[in-house]
Amino acid sequence: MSGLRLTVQVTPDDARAAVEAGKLAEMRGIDSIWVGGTAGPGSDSAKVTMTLAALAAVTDHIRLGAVLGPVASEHVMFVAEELGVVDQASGGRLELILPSDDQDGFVQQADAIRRAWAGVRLEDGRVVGATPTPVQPQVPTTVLASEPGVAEGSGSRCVPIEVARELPEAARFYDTRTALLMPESPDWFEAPHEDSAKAVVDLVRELEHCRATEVVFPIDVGSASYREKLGFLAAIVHPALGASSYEVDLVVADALSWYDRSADSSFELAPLS
Amino acid sequence: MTLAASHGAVASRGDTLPVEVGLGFWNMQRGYTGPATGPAPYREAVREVQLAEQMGFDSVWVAEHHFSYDGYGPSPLTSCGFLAAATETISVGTCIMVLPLHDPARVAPALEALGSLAPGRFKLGVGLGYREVEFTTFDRNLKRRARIMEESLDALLESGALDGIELWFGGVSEAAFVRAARYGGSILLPPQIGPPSAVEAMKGIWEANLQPRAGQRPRVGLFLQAWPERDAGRAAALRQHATEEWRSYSRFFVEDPVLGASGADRDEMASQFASTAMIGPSAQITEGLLAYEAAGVDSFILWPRFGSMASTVVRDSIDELASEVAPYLRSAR
Repeated sequence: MSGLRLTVQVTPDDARAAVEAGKLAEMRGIDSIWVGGTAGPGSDSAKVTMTLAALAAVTDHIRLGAVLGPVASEHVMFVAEELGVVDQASGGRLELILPSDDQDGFVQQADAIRRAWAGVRLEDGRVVGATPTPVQPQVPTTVLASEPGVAEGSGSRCVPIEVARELPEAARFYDTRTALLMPESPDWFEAPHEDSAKAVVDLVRELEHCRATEVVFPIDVGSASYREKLGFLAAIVHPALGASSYEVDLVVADALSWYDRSADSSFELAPLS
Repeated sequence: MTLAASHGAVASRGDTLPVEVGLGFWNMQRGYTGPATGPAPYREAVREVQLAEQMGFDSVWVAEHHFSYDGYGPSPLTSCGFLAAATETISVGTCIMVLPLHDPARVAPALEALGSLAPGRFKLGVGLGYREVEFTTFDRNLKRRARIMEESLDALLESGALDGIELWFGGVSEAAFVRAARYGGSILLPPQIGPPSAVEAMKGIWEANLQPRAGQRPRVGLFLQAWPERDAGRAAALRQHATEEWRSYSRFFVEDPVLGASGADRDEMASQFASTAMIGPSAQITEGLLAYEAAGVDSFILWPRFGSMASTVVRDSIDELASEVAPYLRSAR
C-alpha cells in the first residue's frame, strides 16, 4: 500500500486562507492540494489560478491541483495561459482536475486546454498557442466524476468514496489511477474520537481493495478547527496510507498514541508554524 | 493642503506627493539573448522582488503580452498574485494590463483574490494594447479598443471590483491622458514620451481634465530603464543588451515579419528606444531622473529587469539603485 497520495482540497473563496492552508499542508508533509470547487459551473477559474500561482511562490514541493469547472470557450486561452504560468512558477507541480458527469464533457474540457497550449488555428490560417506552456510534458489530468464510467481510458479518475463503496466492480479500476474523494465530514475526521483509529484502518483496507492511488479530503479553511484536521491527517492518516494491510493496525495505533502524547507535550520536536 | 490633510481625500490639483520609487518589469521571459529553459525566470523573480522589498522600494510591476515564444508573461494579474505571495509589504502592479483583451467578468474575481492575497498592495495599470494578433485571437476589435476599455472599466467600477485599488493609465497620446483624467486615475508615461518638457506638457493636459476619484491620490508616473554602471566597458555592454532587447521587443510593434515592416525599421526602432535607457554612474542617472521630478513626475518605475538579463546583474542594479539613486529622488520633496 505504499505510495498512496494524500491530498487536501480547498476552495479559492478566501485566497489568503487557502494559501496559508497550502503552506501548512506542505509543512505537515501532505502530498497535494487541490484548489477549486468539487463540481459544476460554480468553480471560478480566475480565482483558482490566482491562488495556485500564490501557492507556487510560497511552497516547494506540494503538488498543485486546479479544480476547474466548465470553462467558457472564450476564456479557454486565458485559462491555458494562467495554468502555464502556474506550472512554470511551481517548477512543474500543476495537475488538472476536471469535474464532469459525462465522458464527452471531460474529453472536451481536457482537449480544449491542451489545444490552447498546442496552438489554435485562426481564420486566416495562423496558428497561435498559449505561452508559457507547462514545464511538464504532460500535465496529470484527473476527471472528478460522480460515477466511474466517465473518462474510461483517460488514465486517471476521481470518484466519491460513497460511489466506490457501492461498486462491486471497483477492482476494474486496476489499470487506471484512481483517487477517492472523501465525503466532506466523516465523523472520525470531523471530530477524532476513540474509534478514529479503527476508521482509518478500515479506510486503508478499503483503498487497497479499490486499488486507489490517492485520497482527497475537502478542508474548510474558514473553519477554526481546520489546522487540527490537517494535523490529524498528517499524523495519523498519512502514515497509515503508506502502510501495508498487515501492519496498518500497529502503525495507526502507534501514530495515534504519538499524536496524543505530542499534543500533551509542552514542546514540539518539529515546530509547525 | 498638507499631506496629512489630503490623505484619503479625492484628487486635488497642486498636491505635492512624496516621490515613490518602484521597479520593473518581471515578465518572466527568456528569449534568444539569454536562453534558458524551464522555470528559472520565476525563481529569479522571487529572489529579485524580495530583494526589492528588503531594499525599501515601493512597488514592483509586470506587463502583458501574449503568444510570445520567450514565455513573456501573458497573465499580469496571476503574476501579481505570484509576486505578492512572495513578498509582504511591497506593492505589486500592472504596467500595463491590456484591459480590452479581457472579460471584466473574469477580471473581477481575479481582483478579489488579489485583494485577499495582498490587501491594499495592488495597483492596476491599464492600457489599450496594440498587437493585432492578440486582438484577433481573443476575438476583440482592435479599432474599438478604446471603447471596449471604457466599457470594461465602467463595469468594474460599477460592480465595486476596483474599490480600494489604485487605477493607473498607460499611453502616449493626449487622448490617453484625457481618459485617465476623466477616471481620476494616475498616469504612466513610457520612456518614449521624450524629455522633461514633454512630460510637463502631458501632465498639463491630464491635470486640466482631472476628475476626482474617491480614495485615489492621482500621480504622474514614468517608467524607464536605469542601470547604474561606473565602468565604461560594462556600460557599453549594457547599452548593447538594451538595444538587442528592444530590437527583439520591436517585433510586437510591427506586423507579422513576413508581411510587415522591414529589418531596417526595426533596427531604427531599437536604436531609438535604447537611447532612452539611462546607463552610467548613479549620480548621472539621479540627475536625469531629478529633471523629470522637477517636471512633475512623482512616481518612478526604474527598470533594471529587461528581458533575458542575468539575475546577478539585475540584483546588483537593484542594490545600487536603492542606495545611490532612490534616496535622492525621495529627498527631492
